[in-house]
Amino acid sequence: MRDLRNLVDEIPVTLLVALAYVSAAMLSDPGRSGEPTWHDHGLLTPMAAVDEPWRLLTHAFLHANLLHLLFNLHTLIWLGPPLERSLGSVRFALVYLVAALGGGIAVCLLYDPRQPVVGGSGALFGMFGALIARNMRAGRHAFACFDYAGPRQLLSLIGVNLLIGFLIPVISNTAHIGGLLAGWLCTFVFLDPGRSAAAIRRWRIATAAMFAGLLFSVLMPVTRWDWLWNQAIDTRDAARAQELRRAAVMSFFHRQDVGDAEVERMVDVLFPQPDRTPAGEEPAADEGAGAPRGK
Amino acid sequence: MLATLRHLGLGLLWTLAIVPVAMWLLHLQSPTAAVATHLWVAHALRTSALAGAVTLAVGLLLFPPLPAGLRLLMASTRKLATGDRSRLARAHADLQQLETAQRHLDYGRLAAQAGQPALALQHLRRAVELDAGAIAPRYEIGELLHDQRAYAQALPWLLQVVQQDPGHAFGEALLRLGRVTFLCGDHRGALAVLQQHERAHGGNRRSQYWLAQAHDAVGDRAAARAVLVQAAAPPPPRQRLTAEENWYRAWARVALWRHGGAA
Repeated sequence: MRDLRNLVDEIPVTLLVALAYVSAAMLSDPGRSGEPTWHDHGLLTPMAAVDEPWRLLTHAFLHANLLHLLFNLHTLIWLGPPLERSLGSVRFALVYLVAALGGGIAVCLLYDPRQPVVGGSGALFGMFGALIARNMRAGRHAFACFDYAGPRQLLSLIGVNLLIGFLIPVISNTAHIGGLLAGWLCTFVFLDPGRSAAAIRRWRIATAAMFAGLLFSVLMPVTRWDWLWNQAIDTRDAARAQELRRAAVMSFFHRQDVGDAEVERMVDVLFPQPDRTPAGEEPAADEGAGAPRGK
Repeated sequence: MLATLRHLGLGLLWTLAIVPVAMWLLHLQSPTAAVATHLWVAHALRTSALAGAVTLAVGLLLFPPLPAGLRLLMASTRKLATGDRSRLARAHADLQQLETAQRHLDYGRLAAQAGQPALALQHLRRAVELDAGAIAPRYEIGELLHDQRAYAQALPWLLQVVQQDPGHAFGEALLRLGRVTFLCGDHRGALAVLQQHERAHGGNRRSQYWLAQAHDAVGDRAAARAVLVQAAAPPPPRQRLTAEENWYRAWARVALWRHGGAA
């Protein structure tokens, strides 16, 4: 009991995250059929993240199945305690959340809008990144740590995990790489600035601006067909709605030479079952106005 | 070069920060223009990446300075990135305790190694102020200005060094003086200095390449070709040229092709 109390004192965030993994798995019950469960409202699809941005974080606490959960739980229990002891609990929590957000942003920027992603591995890769950053800050220069076996083995482990991700199609390496970069940047630039704290201010500002810019592009994906289509549904201006639809079709087919007539024809092909009427307009079956939001 | 890499990194971060906002502003004006821009940029990036990869592959095979330049770039980046910065901090602390010409010289040298030429020049000039007869800071200033391509400014510093100590830095001062003299337009003067260096210190790929250029500039193509043949010769078995020597050997091979000979 005393050991457990000591653990709670030393690594509360790791334990909390592990508890969140298990609780979320039990509450969401991803194997159940029928009504949408909590799992459906927490997993990340780029399309859904626009209106429900919390999914950028919640997906990092949910898992697809028992094996996925056990694998990530093992990695968390292996990586979390040394990093939390090294960084401190608040900073460790920050790294986890930033890495989860980084993985989510990478997925939203690079994946098909309908592709669902779930799991804490992006955030766990962020911990790998944070460990590498801590090691890089500890030496005489940034690369001195790679003279030693430990950091080199960590790099090998990251490489092997990325290779596994490339070989197994259901694994999202995009989230892994996004989380890895976010965790590394967060630790290297913000949490452990080393001796050159004054010189790093410019990097901090630029990194924060980049993160904000990328988050903005996730929440306002102005060149993604699903967001453009939903904007067309919501707008009252008919001409603007038509231009938005045209832009959506251009984005969907990756083609610039799209005429108005072609847009109408493609609308019927793309969205054969309208379920929503544009605000301020009467339902019109031939206009294809009601595209599903796909949530 | 470290400063260039730093600026490139910062530029990339700011680009990633600004582009989403710029695209949103464009979207407000015209959604189709935003999508068209996105498609065009994606296409241009893909095409240029492919073209760049093909060009690089062909260049690596056919143009010797390209692989040599990549090796030199990697070597200098590695040297800059793995330099011990704590020595710079210690030298700064020493300088704050007591200001001497030697400490300014040490700090200037370390700053130059750390890729901070402006800071280095400032301290090296102060070292010359404190010790008017010192050669070493003068040479360091000349070398830094040479590396920054400020040849006309480097010339008097190197000239002072060579006048006081012709063999300074194992002939490196003489060699750089020859190069700077050549780049300032005095080809005959440069040829004399480079030949003096060749006699006193022997040749290396760099000095031979520069000497060949000086011969060429004064119209002695046969002498230039003879020196280029030495510079372009392959290294002896089981001996690897340094990245810099390899770089000058690659350019010597190109120059030799221009002279109508095979490397």
